[in-house]
Amino acid sequence: MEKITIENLNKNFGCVECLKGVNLQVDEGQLSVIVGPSGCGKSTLLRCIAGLETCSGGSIFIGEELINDKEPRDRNVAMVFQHYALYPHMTVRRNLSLGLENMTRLSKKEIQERIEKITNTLQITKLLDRKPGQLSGGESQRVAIGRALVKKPKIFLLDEPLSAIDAKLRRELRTEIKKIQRKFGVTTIYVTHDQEEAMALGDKIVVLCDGEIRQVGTPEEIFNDPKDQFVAGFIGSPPMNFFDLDVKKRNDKYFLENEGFIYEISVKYFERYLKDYLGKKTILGIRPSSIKIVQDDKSYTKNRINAASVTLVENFGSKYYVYLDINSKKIIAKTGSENVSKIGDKIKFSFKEEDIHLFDIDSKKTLKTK
Amino acid sequence: MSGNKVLVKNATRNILVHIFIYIVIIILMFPLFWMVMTSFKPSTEWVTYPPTWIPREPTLDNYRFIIFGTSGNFVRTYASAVVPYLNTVFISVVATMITIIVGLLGSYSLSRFKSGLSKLISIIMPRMFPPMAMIIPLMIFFQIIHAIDTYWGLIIVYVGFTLPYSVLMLKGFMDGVPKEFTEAAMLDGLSEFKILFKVWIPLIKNGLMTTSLFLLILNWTEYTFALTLSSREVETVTLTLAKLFSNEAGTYYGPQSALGILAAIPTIIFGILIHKYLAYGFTFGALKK
Repeated sequence: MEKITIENLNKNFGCVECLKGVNLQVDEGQLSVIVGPSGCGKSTLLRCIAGLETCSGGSIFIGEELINDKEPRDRNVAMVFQHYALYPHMTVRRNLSLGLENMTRLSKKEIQERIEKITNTLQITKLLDRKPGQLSGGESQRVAIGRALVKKPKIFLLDEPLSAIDAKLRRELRTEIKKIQRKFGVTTIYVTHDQEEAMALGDKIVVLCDGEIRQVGTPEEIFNDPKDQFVAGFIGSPPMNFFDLDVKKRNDKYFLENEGFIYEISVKYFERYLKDYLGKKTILGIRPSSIKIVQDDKSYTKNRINAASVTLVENFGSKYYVYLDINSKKIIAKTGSENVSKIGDKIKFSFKEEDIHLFDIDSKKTLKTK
Repeated sequence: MSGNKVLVKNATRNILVHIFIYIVIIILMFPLFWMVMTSFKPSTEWVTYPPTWIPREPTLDNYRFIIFGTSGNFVRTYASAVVPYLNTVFISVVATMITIIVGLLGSYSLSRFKSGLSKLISIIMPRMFPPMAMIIPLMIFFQIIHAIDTYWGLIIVYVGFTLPYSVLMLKGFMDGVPKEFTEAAMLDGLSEFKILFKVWIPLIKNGLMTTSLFLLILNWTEYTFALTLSSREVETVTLTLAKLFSNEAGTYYGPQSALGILAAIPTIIFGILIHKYLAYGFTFGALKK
């Protein structure tokens, strides 16, 4: 168990900058999830740690040891690949033992003991004499994890290990990976493009975009206090709704408004976050789950209720996604099972002041810094 | 009604397709059929007109002549073809094995380390002009290094001239090996040699078999180099066949056919042994796993 420290890491492919000065620390035994849209450099970052790519600049430490120029095999890292990459011509047992034979000086007997031990933990003992072609998706997954962990690596890396699996099984395996990681307590970096997976798994989430880290934090921090518009829009499903609004003052009251949309904010709120923005534009973000569709709800009388027409309703059983159109601006609201809106309805909606996220229109950074 | 029509239409199409396939097969197999038949004909029937399709008086004389160099009905005695036959087996098998081993190493480094077009071109260079153009310099050079009429001389030439095929074909198969396997092997601490022999070669086994067969056939049927570089001491089957053709007692069509049949047998057997790999080998590049 070791911590990983990454300092100012750069990676260029030709003239394409793939990673731009990444700084990151992953603590001992922690499960960190790197999440970002495709092409953001998350896999590259992982491959730099594994030694499969050389870094163009910066340094990577495992524990206190600088590993930039070490061969992958000398780094003592193990990796689970997207399609597992189990050697198809070898039995599961050979798949597991190959790394041990080449990297350690263990005797045959010790190797077999280690394999027994890990396969018992992962409940794959009965698969030992099969070939990868005879395994189901979930079994391959477990064997791939076994092959990585049997080497007792300092660092455990997973590169989108669940993306090739169907949705239902994915959820099961996700919890399993988390359990296994807890049991072995190995420092883990997990790469995914699925924000839901990231939220479910991570002790710590690293949001990466265009080769830069946008935010590092616990799932709660990332969800509740996104540092910029990208993080806010990327995390959460369905995604956050954004509005470009003017900050205006009339009759000592403060409003966020544009065509067809007026939202009154309290003086206190204005003083706290929007003082410098009077007469300027700002971006308002609101999560679909924070939007309340109201009929005659008295609790929202203070705010202007905005009228919108329902364009689509998606039923998920316990919840509904309601797609609204307000002055040809699309927004999504998430409502509970009591939803009554139908396509074509004119409805009103509102949200609470404390649920609002505000972003600078140029820098896209949040205004809600405490 | 319409269902029946579709069935009838499908059946007709099936029959037509099969008729076409059989026509192609007959065209392809006819020379072989003719050769087999001729090899069992006595000399009187070799060139009679109208031809006899099936030998009227089947005989093993031609085979006897090939094996012992003499036979009852032939005027002339001749050297047995057994030694050239064994020569061919030895030379082509050794040359193929060397070509495959060198080809594996070469194509591995080309495929794994993406070293650019120039190296690849330099490897196919020997095949870019006709072998004939190389023969005179080669003959002179072989004279100097005393390689004329030796096994090793011929093997070197065969290796040299089939290596481009070996590298190119194997590289094609190796390029189909997903990168993840290599990376997993690197993380498992395998050296480059072990990655090649423990991971890549088992993965491209089908391609390896296809390439081996192809190279074996090339070496087995080679004539030009054998003729110019080693026609006296080290005679190969192709040379024996040619000698039978220009015999002063007339052309020995019967023994020629017999030797042709005998010469085809090893490659056919090898082909049958590895045929299940061949089908995969030919499609490997087309299908991403």
